[in-house]
Amino acid sequence: MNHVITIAKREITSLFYSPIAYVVLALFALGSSLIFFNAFAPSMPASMQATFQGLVWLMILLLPGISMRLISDEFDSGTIELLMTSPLTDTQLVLGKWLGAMGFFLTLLVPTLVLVGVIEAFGDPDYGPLLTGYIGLLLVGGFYLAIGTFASAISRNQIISYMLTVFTICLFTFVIFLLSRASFIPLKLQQAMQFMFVNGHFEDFGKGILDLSRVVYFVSSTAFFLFLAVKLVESKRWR
Amino acid sequence: MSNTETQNSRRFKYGINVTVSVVIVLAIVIILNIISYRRFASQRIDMTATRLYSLSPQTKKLLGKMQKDVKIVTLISQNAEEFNKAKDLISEYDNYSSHITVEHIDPARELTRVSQFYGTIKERYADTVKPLEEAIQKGREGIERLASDIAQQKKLLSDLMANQAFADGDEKELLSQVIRAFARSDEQFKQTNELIEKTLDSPMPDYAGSLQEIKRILSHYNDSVYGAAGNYLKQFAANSQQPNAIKEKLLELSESFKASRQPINAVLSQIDSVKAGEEYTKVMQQIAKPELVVLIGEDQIRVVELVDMFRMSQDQQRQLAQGQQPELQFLGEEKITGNLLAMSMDTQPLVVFIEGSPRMPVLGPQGQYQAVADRLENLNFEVKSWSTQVSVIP
Repeated sequence: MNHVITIAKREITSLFYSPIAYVVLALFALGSSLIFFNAFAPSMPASMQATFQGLVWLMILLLPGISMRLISDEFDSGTIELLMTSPLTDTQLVLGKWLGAMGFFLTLLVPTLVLVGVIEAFGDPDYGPLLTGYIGLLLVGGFYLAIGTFASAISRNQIISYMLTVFTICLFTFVIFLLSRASFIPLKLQQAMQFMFVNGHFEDFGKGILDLSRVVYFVSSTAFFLFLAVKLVESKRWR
Repeated sequence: MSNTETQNSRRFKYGINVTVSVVIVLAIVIILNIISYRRFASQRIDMTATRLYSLSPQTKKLLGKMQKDVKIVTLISQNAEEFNKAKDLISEYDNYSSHITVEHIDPARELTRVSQFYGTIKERYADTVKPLEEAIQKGREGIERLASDIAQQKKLLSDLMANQAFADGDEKELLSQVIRAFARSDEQFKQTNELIEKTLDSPMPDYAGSLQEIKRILSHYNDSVYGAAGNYLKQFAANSQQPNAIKEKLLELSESFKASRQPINAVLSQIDSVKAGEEYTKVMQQIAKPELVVLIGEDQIRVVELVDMFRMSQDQQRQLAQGQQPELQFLGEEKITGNLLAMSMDTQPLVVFIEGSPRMPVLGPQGQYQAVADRLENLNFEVKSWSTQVSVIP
C-alpha cells in the first residue's frame, strides 16, 4: 500500500509540473462555470443537476488529458525499466498511477465548490442531491481515468493514448446512446446497451438518488479497465 | 533457432493465459452487475430533502403484493420541469417492482414508437375489432348499393319530369325535391367514403365513429328521402288528377323506393346488432387525448390524463398555456397507485353513503359529499347512496 501512495504522490507532483494539467484545470473551471451560469436564473431550481450532467460530457474530452501521460511517459523516457526492476508489483504501479490521476481530478472539482457557494448565497439548495452528484462525478471520473490508464499503457505516444481514451469513452456514451435507439437492433440487445450507457447511470446521482447497483456498475467497470492495464504492463515483461 | 522457437511458444502460452483471465474477469464483471441490478434496484436511497423520488408506503405495500404484470406507458410531450418529475416518479415504480415495466414515449417526436404502441393496443382487441371491421364493410357495400339504386331512380325521375302529360302541382314539387336530394348524394357518399378510408388507415381506427357515420347517412336516405317521398307518391298515385299514365309511373317509382329501403334496413339492423368493441372504443377514445399515462394490465387498460395528475388552479393553467412553469401539486402517485390497486382487485369495492333526508342529498349536483365521492370513484370504488327513508337497500 505504501508503494501505491508513493507512486500516487509522485504522480500528482509531476502533474502539477506539466503545462497540460493547467490547461485541463482552466478548461474544466471555465466549462463548469459556463454550464452553471447558463441555467442560473430566477425561478430555476436551486440545484446543480444540469451542471453535473454537463460536466459528465465535458469530462469525456478533459480527463483523457490527465491520464494520457500516466504510463506512456514512463515508456517514452525509459524510466519503465527502473520501475520494472524495482520491488514494485505491476498492480501497485497501475493503482498508484490511477490514484494520482484521481487526486488531480479532485483538485479539478475544487473550483466547482465556488458554484455551490453561489447557490447558497442566492437560494436554498438541497444538499442531498449535491452530495450524490459529487459522488457520481467521482465515480464517473474514476471510470474514465481507468480507461485512460489502460490506454496509456498501450502506446508510448501520448496523443495516441489520448485519442484511444476518448474513443473508448465515446463507445460507452455517444455510440451506445445512438445505437440503442436504432430500430435494426433487437430489443434485448438495446436494453443491454442502455445498461452500459454511462450518462444513464449518472442521471440518478444528479437527481439525488443513491442506487447501489449504479455504484457497482462504476466500481466494477473501473476495476475491469485497471485489470486490463495491469495485464498490459505485465505483458511488457514477456513480449 | 530453437531459442526463438521456445520464445514463441512461451509468448503463445502467456498470451492464451492473459486472454483467458481477461475473459473470466469480464464474465465476473457482467454477472456481478446483473446480480446487483436485480438485488439493489428496489433499494434506492432518496437523498432529496423532500423525498422527491420516493414512493409512498402505501404504493410500496401494493407493489410488494402485486401478482400480475402491468406495463405503464407515458405519452407526455411537454418538457416542463414538473412533468419530468412526474415521469421520474413513474420510473420509480419500475425500479421498485419486477412486475411493472415503464416506457416513456414522446408523442411529439417519436412518431414510430407511438404508432407501434397504438398497434399493440389494437392487437389486444383484435378479436373484438373484427366484427366491427366486418360491419363497416357491410355498411360500405350498403352505401354502394344505395348509390347504384339512386342512379337508376334518377333516370326514372328525369324521364317523368320531361313527360309532357305531367301537369304542374304538388307531385312535381315533391319530385323536384327528391331530385335535389339525389343530386347531393354523390358528393355525400364520396365524403363518407374518404372519411372511412382515412379512419381505417390510422394506427388506431375509430371504428365506432365510422359506423355511426355510415348509420347516419343510410338512415337519412331511408327515412327522410325514401320513407317520406314514398308515402307521398303512394297517395298521389291513388288520388290525384294526373293522367293515368303518369299515375302508373308514380306508382312504379314508389315501388322502386320501397325496394331500395329493404337492403338499407338489413344493413342498419346488422350494424345495430354489433355489440362487440365497446371496450376498444372506450380505450381508443381515452388514448386519443393528448398527454397521458396508460396502464396496460393483463386483462384491462386504464388511462390517466396528465391534467388529472396535478392540482391546478385556473391561474396556473393560464400560466402553463403561456409557456411558464408554475409550481404544481402532483397527485399522480395517488392516481396511478389507485388504478394499479383497482387492476389487481377482482371485484370493485362498494362505498355506500347514507342519507338522512332527501332534502339534504349526499351525492349528486347538490350533494355535500360529492367531492369525496368523486375521489373515491377515481380510485375505482363503486359509489352509491342510500336514503334511510327509502326501504330499498342497495
